[in-house]
Amino acid sequence: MANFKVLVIEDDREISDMLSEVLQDEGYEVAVAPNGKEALSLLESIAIPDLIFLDFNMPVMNGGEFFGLLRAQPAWEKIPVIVTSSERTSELRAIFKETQRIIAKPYTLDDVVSAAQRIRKG
Amino acid sequence: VTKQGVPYSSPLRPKIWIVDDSPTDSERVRRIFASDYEVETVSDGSVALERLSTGSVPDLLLLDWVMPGVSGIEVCKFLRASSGALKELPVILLTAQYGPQEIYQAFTSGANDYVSKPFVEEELKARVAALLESKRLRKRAERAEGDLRALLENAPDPMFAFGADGKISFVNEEGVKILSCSRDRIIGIPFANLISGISDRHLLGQNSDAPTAIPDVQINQAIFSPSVRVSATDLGVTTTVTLRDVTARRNADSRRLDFYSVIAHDLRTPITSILLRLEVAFRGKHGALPEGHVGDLKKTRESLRGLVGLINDFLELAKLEGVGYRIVQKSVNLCDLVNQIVEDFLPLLEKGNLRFAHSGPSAPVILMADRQRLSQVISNLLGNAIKFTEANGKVETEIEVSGGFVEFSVRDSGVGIQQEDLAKLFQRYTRASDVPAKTSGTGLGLMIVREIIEAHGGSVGAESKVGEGSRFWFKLPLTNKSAELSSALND
Repeated sequence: MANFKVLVIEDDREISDMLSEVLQDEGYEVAVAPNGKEALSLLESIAIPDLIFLDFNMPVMNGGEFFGLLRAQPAWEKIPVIVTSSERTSELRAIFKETQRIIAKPYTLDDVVSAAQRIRKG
Repeated sequence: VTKQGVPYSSPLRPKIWIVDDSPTDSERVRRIFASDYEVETVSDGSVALERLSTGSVPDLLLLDWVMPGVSGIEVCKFLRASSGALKELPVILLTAQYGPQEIYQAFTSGANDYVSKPFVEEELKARVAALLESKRLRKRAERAEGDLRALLENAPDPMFAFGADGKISFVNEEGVKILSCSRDRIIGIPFANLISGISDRHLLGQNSDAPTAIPDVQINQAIFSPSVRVSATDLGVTTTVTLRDVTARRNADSRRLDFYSVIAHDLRTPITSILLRLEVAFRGKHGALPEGHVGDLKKTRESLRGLVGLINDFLELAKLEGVGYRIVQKSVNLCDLVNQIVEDFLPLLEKGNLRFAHSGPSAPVILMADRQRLSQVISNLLGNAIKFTEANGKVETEIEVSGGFVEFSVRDSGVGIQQEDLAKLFQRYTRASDVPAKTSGTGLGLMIVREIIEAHGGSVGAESKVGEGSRFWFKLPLTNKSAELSSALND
């Protein structure tokens, strides 16, 4: 079975480093982007990921804008997205609607790993 | 000093003129009224007109119909065609001609009343008194209306009034000023077209005398908080909208909130990274940690989590100040909302090894509420139940509709709360005195819950037994509108 590919979009370098480290330890293939804009250009050049962890509050292009543009592309509209953010969940619900899982900061590594496992198992 | 032979006259005594060409009739009427009124006799219609047009005006005219020259009917017509006090001057016509045709003619020419000759003294007196009384009442009503209008006209807040047709019938000086448009162009246009942001949706369904606050509106850079008052009388329905300028307050609020949000975000991010780093250490990738270090680091982790809770609650409370003015009420299906929130909490329930159950009506329960705020309340109550319940315990949610209210409750099999602490729970800065040390919280959460529910016109409460668990609930009114929606959806 091909490797399960995860894209982490997170502006805090320390956090994205740890997420990618832990996810790699779990056997995932991990790509990282520091904001929505760079994530979009990265998506053009890499294989379509099986899962995206998306931070909300980022410079240049935030999670909400990124999400809108992502879903506008037929090729990307089915990629599962897990929103990770320090905004309150209720506010994010208004932006991301019912469809997406939201993990609020501060989350634990277990939250992230088990969320990824769930998606992987389908 | 009074003139010789002229009796003292009280200025309070109403003035009556008797206009009659027959001195005998005139004198007879004069004698009837002389003791209670200031009476003058006028010899015919043309003299009466001459005196009236020079500005002397009595309180009432007793007018003979048939006179040589200018008749009573002609005097009436002249008066009603005049302006000011003359137009409103009360007139009683006296005449011997009183067929239906004549009575009709008397009234169409503008007489207020009609007495036939020969008259009964008591009847004439009663009619004069009644007419004067109605004039007095009308004057009083006019003065009160004038005073009120002046008061509203000069009120510091812009005000608008309109009737059942929705068209503006009144706007005060401030109202004209903020719309920077002439009064003539405002009067008569539908209110809903006037100010964008206040639509029929806000105006309809307001059916109480108590003013209702609706969402802020913006007019030329200024922010106004409108309040709507509907008063229904047998004269019809009048809706009054008052706009209070809250620009300075809202701007200060939003600057303060932006500032708090930035701080909160900037604090949470490094804390997240510290917490993640701690977890990397716990995972023992770089070698197992000594037992003692694990304990220390776990305590560090708990403190950090407490700190995040504190930051969150602090930010929420800051946002909630004055929330009553800003809740956006839309129709919300409470059942869907609860399901969705439960979904978000499933991982936490699993992690705490808790059983969960939900009971409620299968049909949608539609409320008028601020969805985001309500979801915050439900999350808070559910989060607490999970937090305060030990492993293998049970958490249950319930939705119950009865008597125009919907009640949502969360029951847990947790540690429970002492009776004396229960009462203090929803107040600022309190927390049950002896909750286990493992629980974190600032005590602000339930206060937030109370603020939100009360802003929706509902109530909150809790029951608890130490060692058995607690039940927290809120109750919200189902408005007529929401009941209609519910039944429409059920059909």
